[in-house]
Amino acid sequence: MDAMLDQYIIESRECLQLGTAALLSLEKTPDDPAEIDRLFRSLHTLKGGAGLFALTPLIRATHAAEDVLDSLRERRIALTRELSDLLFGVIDQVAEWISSLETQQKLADNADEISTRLIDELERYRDHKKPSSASRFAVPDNLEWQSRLTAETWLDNTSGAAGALTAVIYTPDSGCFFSGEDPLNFIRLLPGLCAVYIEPAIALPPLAQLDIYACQLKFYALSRASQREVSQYCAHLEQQIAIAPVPMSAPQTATPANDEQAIFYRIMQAQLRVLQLPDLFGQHLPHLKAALQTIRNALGFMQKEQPLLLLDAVARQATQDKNAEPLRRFIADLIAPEDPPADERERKNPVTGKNKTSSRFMKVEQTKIDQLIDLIAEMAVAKNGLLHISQQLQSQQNSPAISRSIKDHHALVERIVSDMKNIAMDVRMIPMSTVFQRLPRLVRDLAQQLDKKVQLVISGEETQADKNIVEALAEPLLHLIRNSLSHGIEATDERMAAGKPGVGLIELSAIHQGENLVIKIVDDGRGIDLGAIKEKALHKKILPAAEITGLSDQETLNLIFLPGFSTSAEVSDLSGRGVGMDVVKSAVESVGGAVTIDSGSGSGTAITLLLPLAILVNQVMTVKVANQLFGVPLSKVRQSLRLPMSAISKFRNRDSFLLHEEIIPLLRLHTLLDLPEPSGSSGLAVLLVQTRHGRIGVAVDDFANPIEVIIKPMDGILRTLGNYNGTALQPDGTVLLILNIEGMIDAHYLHR
Amino acid sequence: MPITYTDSRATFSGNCKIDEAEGLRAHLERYPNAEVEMTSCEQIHTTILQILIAAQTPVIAPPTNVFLLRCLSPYLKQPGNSSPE
Repeated sequence: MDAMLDQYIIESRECLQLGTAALLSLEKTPDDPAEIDRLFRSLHTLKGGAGLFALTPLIRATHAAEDVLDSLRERRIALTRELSDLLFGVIDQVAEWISSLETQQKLADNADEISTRLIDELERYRDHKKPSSASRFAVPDNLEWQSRLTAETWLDNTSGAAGALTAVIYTPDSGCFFSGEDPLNFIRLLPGLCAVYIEPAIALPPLAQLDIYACQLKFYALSRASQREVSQYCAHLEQQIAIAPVPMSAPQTATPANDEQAIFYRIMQAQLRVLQLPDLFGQHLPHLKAALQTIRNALGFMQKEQPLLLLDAVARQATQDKNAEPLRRFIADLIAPEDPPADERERKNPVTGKNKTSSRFMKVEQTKIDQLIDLIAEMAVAKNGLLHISQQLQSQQNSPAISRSIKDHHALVERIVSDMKNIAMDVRMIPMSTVFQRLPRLVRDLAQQLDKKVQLVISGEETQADKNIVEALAEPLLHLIRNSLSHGIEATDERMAAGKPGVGLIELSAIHQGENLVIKIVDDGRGIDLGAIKEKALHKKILPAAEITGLSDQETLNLIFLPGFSTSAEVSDLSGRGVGMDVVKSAVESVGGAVTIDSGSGSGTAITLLLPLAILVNQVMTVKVANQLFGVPLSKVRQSLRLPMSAISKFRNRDSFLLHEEIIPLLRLHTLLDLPEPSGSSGLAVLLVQTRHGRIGVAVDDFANPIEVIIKPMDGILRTLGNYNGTALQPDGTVLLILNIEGMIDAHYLHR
Repeated sequence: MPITYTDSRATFSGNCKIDEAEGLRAHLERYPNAEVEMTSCEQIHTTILQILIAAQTPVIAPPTNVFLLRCLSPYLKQPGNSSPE
């Protein structure tokens, strides 16, 4: 059951996203029936699945929303901003319920109350000229079935009592058991139930041939509750239920409104009974022939041309197969309550997926894929051990043949592991749309709240990256878009005064660039005020006044990445809750990415996130400092250089060197790590690192080989050591500390 | 066990859910003259009712639960009767 609930939660979230996207589109093109259908389908799927877990408040609310969408589809009402807000409200509420289902395996205690409030609000919009969908299918006029409601079928002895009754005829879908439905129990709980009669919807086959998991019963019931109450209770079964008011005397004295219809109904019922006779194609063949002729006559009389045409074909097939079942079904269908429209049938049960085309995709729990990928990653690292053994054999035991053989096998294993790695990583690749699709809704709501006009243009939603990376971007992106809207984009009059279009523009794009994913958020707002940043840095005593004055534009902009820094004059509830760009930066860096910012006063801001496409194994450069080995993620290293001591000179009292006519500041790793200084070196081994402070040279004692490792994050108290990203196992089994080189450089500049 | 089987007799008690269906069908197929005792049965799944109707199994002790009794009443027959009604 838990697995089913998990599945429902996953599918519901997809439905909610689809619904949100459809509603956003619908706001732009309110008459587009395709978008109404898309929204309807997502709510319908949510509702269908909810039946499995008896989530009545959710079922009722989504059903009421469907009713409103029906009115919208038939253009009996128009989509106003208020209605759109209300529909978003339903989507949000369902999202909240799904979250509570995930964490507490149940809906919140006040779910019924909230559902009723939503339904009441939705009711104001529904076109009341049309009956609610629950009563769309009529109880047969003749009420012939009521004659079967004898005293024996009444639950109490009030069959003769006065008062209005509501009749219910319920023909469950044959596959309803698979959706968790139990029609008998449903009828048992019908409000005001006072009489019940159950019969096979078709003649049941002998027990041996009975499909016990296909519901083949039909339920008739009378209730003392009002039609409205019964309709609400039955709302989610609209296509399978007919509800109608009945005067109390009806069971005994019903006279059909339409005599011809009633006679036709009775004739067909009688023929159905004939068709239920045993040995219909042998001993009772004359009865079958007579019944067919009667049916033909009745159909002709009622001018039901299409069934008349079909009847002979169905009868022929039945005779040929010696199976009367299709014929019985055909006749039963003719007198069954009105069929649901074709499009309703198409969107049948979302849970059993009976009507869906079989998919080539399968859903797999992510932890299983993660475990598989972790194992492949470990294998990728473990295979390096073979190379190490081969080298040892060659140097220590002088066994070149065995060494070569191991080397050959290493090459083979490497090729296989590399292929496995590629395929496994591909499995976990998902499109950026997964996180991008939340943003249009955010922009819509925020723009409304801030009374700004803004257009969000998204490109590259199909660009793929590792699921863990894409998901890690969700929060940073929300924050960046919020920032652009609340701080970047100006109010319309301010924009007009500055000669800009009244509607602000935020462009969000994702592209692949080599082995990286590049995400840009560019707005045409007021840009970042460098003077204001400097003032704030001064006010918050982030840097001494003298240093602030000497900062370049880029260095000034980079101050906003420092913890607690906020450029907004007022702390709004939109983007200023004490979290800022530092949170964005650390979230992006936690998946091996980097953030850069570019802004000009008045001309907007561009923020670029540079991320790896996937994280599986990390390439690290090993370096020696004070006779210890450390690892530096290769993604951080632009170049490794060997410089003579003479290349180092002082610039603004800092060690620097010249590279391609650029002055590069030089830091020493032993100083950053507080380790002893190397002695008597004639030259320097320097790693050129790209940071947000520009390119920085970091001197080490010596370089060792780059290796592939899996970086494990630090645990417990070690996590607070800002100098390290984590640890990794080397091929010979020793532990390597991986340096957080950018963090160390940041800390150096901050505390300088 | 909501349904217990003693020779040809099936005794229902409490709430008989859908997972009892296969067992009941097998029992009724094995014993064409099976009897059902339902006195202390409170609730049955739709498919259990469907099986009882299809097999036309005699209910020798009807349920005391009124709803269940009403649902079964058109199909209740005493042992030895040949028609369900």
